[in-house]
Amino acid sequence: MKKRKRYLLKVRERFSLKIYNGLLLVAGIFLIAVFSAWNEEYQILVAGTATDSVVVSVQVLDVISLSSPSDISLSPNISGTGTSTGQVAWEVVTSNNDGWKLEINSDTSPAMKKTGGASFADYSEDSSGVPEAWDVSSSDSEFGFSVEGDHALAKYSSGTLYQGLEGSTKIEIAESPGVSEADTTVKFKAEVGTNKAQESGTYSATIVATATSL
Amino acid sequence: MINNKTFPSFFLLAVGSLFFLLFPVFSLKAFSLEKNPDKVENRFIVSPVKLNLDLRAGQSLKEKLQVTNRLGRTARFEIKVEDLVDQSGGADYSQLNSAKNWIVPEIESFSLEQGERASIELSVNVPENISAGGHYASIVVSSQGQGDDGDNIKVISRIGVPTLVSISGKIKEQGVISFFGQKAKIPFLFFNKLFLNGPIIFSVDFLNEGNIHLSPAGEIAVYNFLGNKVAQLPLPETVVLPEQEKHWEAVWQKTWLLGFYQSILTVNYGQGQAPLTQKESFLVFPVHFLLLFILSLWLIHKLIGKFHWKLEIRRRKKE
Repeated sequence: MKKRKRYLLKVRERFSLKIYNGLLLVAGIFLIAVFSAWNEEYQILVAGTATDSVVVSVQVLDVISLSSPSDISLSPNISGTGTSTGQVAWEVVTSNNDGWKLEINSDTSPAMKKTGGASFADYSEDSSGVPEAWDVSSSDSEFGFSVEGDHALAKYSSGTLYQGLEGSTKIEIAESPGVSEADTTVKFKAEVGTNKAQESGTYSATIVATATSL
Repeated sequence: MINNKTFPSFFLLAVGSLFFLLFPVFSLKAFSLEKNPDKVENRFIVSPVKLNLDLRAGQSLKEKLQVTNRLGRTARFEIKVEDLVDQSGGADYSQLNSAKNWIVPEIESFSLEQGERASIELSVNVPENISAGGHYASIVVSSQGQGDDGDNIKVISRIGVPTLVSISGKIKEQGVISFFGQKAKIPFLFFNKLFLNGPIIFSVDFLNEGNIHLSPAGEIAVYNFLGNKVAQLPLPETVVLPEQEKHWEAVWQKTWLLGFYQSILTVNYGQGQAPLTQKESFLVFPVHFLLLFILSLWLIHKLIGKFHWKLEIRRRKKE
C-alpha cells in the first residue's frame, strides 16, 4: 500500500513536475511575447521618408503681337463739300526688353483714291513731315491722319496735329522702349474744300501698320 | 515585253509607282501646325521678335518662325522678306548691306484657325562672295483686316522681325558720341548751361560709324562742386545699325538744385572697344528767386520811405 502510495506520489510528482515545467515554459513564452509587444509599443516608429525633386519649368517665348482691326468707313458721307473722319486702333504687345515701334504707310500715292483715277491729295504740311493743325484750302481736297495713345509720338500732340501719308514710305507713329502693351489710335480725316468740285463715288485707302521690335 | 498578258501587271506597277512618288507631295505639309486652346484676343503673335545670326560667307542654316492666331477667326497670313529700312535714322540697308535675298521662307501664304500655331522654316543662304560686316533684312508677317467692299479705309496689320546677320571677317566696330548736352524744363533765357532749377534732361546721340550693328549701353554720373556723386542715370542697351544714330534721354528728377555740377557720360559698345566718355558742366541757380527777393526788398524800402516821419528834439533856450 505504501509502495503504491509512494509510486503514485512519484507519478504525481513527475506529472506535476512536467505540468510545472510546461506551465513555466508557457509562462516564459508568454512573458517574452508580452515583453516584446510592450517594447514594440514604446518604440517610435518613423515612417520611412524618401525625398525626390523634380524640376518644373516653363519657357516664355520672346514674342511681339499686333491686333488686326477691321476695315472702317469714314463718316459722315461728304455731300459735295465737308469733312469726314474715322479712326482705327492697333494694340502692340511685346515681351522684348528692347521695345517696339509702330509705323504706317499707304500702298498708293496719293493714299485715298477711287477707281478711275480721282483722288484726295495727301495732306500737305507747311513744313514737310511736321504735323500741324488741320487746314485745307477751299480749292483742295485732302486726306491725312493724326495719332493718339500712351506711346504715340509727341509731335501729334495727342491726336490734334495732322500730317499726310507718303505712299509706301513708312512713317513712325508710336514707340515704346521696353516690355509693354499699348493701344495706338490713328485718326483719319478727309475734307473737300468749299470751292472744290470732287468727283462723286467711293474713295478708299489701304493703310498698312507695321509693328517691329527695336 | 508588254503584251496583253503582261499589260495589266505593268499598268498596276506604273500606277503604284506614280502614287508612291506623288504620295509624299500630297501628304507632307509645308510647315508644322499645333492647335492650342488659346483665348480669343484679337491679335496674332510672332516669335522670335528679332533674329541675330553670326555666319560665314557661303554658310547656310535653317531658322524657325512661329505665327500664332488669336484673332478669334480663321485668318490668312502672308510672309515676305523685305529690306530693313530705318526711316527715322535715315539709314537704308537696301544696297550693300541687304540680306533680303538670302532668306527664303518655306511657305509664303497660309491659313490658321483660332488657336493654331504654325512653325515655318526659314532657309538662310549666305552667298560666297560677300563682304564682312552687318547685313540686314526684315521678315514681315501680315494679316488683312475684315471688312466690306464699301469701306473707305482698308487695314493691313503686319509684324516685322528684324534680321541682323554678322558676316565674319574684317569687321569695323566704331561708334561716336555725336551729341551730349543737358536742358531743363525751365531754362534761363538763351543760356544752355545755366538753369533755374531741375529736373535736368540729358540728351545723348550715338552714331554707328562702323560696318556692323552695335549694342551700346552706358550711364551718366553727376557730381556736385564738392566732388560727391549725386546722381547716376542708366542708358539702356539698344541696337544701333551701321550709319544709324540713336538718341537717348535721361532725366534727373530732382527739382531743388543749387550750385555747379559736372556730368560724366560713359558709353560701352563693341567687344574690346574702349568706352566712350564725355564731360559736361552746368550751373543751377534760382535766379528768379534771387530777383524776386531783391524786388521785395526794394518794394519794402520804398514803402518805408513813403511813410517815414521826422522827429526833432530841440532844447528851449533860456531867456
